[in-house]
Amino acid sequence: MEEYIKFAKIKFISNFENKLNNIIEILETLFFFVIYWYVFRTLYDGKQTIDGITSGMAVTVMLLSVGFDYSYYKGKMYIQEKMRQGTLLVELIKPVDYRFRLFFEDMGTTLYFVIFRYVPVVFIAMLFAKLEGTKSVLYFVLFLISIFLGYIISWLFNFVCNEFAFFTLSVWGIVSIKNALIDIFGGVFVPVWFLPESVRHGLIFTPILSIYYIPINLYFGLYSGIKIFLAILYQLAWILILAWISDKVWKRGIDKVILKGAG
Amino acid sequence: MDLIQLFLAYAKTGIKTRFQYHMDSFLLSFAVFFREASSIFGVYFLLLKFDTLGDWNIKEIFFMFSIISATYSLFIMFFMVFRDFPDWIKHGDFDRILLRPRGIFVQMLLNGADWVAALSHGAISVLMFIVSANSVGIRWNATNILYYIVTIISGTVIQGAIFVFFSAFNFYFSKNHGIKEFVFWKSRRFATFPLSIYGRVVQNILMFVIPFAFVNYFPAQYLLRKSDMAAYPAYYMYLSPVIAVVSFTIAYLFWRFSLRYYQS
Repeated sequence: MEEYIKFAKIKFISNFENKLNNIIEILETLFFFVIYWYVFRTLYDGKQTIDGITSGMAVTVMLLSVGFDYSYYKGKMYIQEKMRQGTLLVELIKPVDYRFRLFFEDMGTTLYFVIFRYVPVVFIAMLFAKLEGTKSVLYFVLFLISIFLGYIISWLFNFVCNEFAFFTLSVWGIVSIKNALIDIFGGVFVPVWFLPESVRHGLIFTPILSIYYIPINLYFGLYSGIKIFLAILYQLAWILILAWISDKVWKRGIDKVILKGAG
Repeated sequence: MDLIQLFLAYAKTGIKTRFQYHMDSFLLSFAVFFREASSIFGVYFLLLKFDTLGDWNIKEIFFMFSIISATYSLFIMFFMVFRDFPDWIKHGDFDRILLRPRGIFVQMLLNGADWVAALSHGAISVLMFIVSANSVGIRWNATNILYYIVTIISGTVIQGAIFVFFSAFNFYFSKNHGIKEFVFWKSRRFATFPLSIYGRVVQNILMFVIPFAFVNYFPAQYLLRKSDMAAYPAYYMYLSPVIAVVSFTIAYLFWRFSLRYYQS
């Protein structure tokens, strides 16, 4: 475990090299937020609530989901790149698990992005936008736990898509479609509460709601009692399902690489 | 005539190269299509709940979006080299162009279209146009059709001018800092929604600094005549071709001037 934490630490530190990128990324997230801040200002147009959702809540959701979405490091096309360079097998003979290493490295980068790119956006947004606070300290702690689980789900989902590199020429298309689906249905382009009910029900059978929607509901204290427990359990279930799929695909992919010598 | 032949020859090789692997190219085109469509899906779901954004309904926003997609699709066919310009300089591709017996700028316009993206954006624009054009109250008479064609050409040229202008900086600094992409794509995202929803500062930037308002908002206003147009001078609806010519002339002259400092 210690060596994996070191991988995360190295990535975290190495990001300090690109300070100019931080400014660009902060502006990028801020611009995106500003657009939706104006959109919701126009949509609400003096109305207090729509379906029990205040404009402050809608704006806060955008800041949370857009901010985290921009901060989550979705990585390069790791496997595809290694396959093309023919260096995947080199990674496999190293005495650390390649997948865990990637997970911790990406986590190091993501943590850096959250602290140095996302947190400044939150402070700037607080200057002009009316944001809604969390319900209580307890709910904020639950939100932090849930958003971390959401990050793991997002990473695994991304990794499974990347694993298609074992079987196709390029995974850019698959990864882009996955990202677009999260943008539409995960709450990045529109708060999930505003999606039609039938769509929301359908989404239960995908990992998408676990990424931002559940943590955000916990932030606002919209779950209580047993529902909190079930929400966290639902997220854990998705981690298990995605980890299982990822492992199965990985093993088949590696077999293929070893047999054909393509790695 | 000669130039058209040259463009067609480049297009033929470009398409053959990009669509060499059928399945991969199909998936790639669909992904670009879907990625672009995702923001419009977001707007669709929002307006399903709220009905209108200011004075604009979903069909009218689709129509405005179709203009930005159509102009962007054409922009990709002609100005893509300017997007990848730092790479062209770094890999020596620009030197190759300098040695050929044709105008430098013309060669760059005709070469290097990203066909996958151009077709995907084109498909979105056609789809949005079909969905909206006949249900937003536009009478498609000769004047309006002509206005629409001029709008598409002007919008393409305005976006081209932005890229040509920023790519000229690569003659001085070969490293790409991503500023050009940032300025362009982020401003373009603002253009998804009607200009009138934004505050004064944002509106002024979109009108006078990165003039995306003249790519789709004011032209759409000419055809749709929404009430929020009252906040702007009426002649803005006729200004797109002028902005296109002026911005492109400035960008081109700056680019030609900067070319002197190219050191290979």
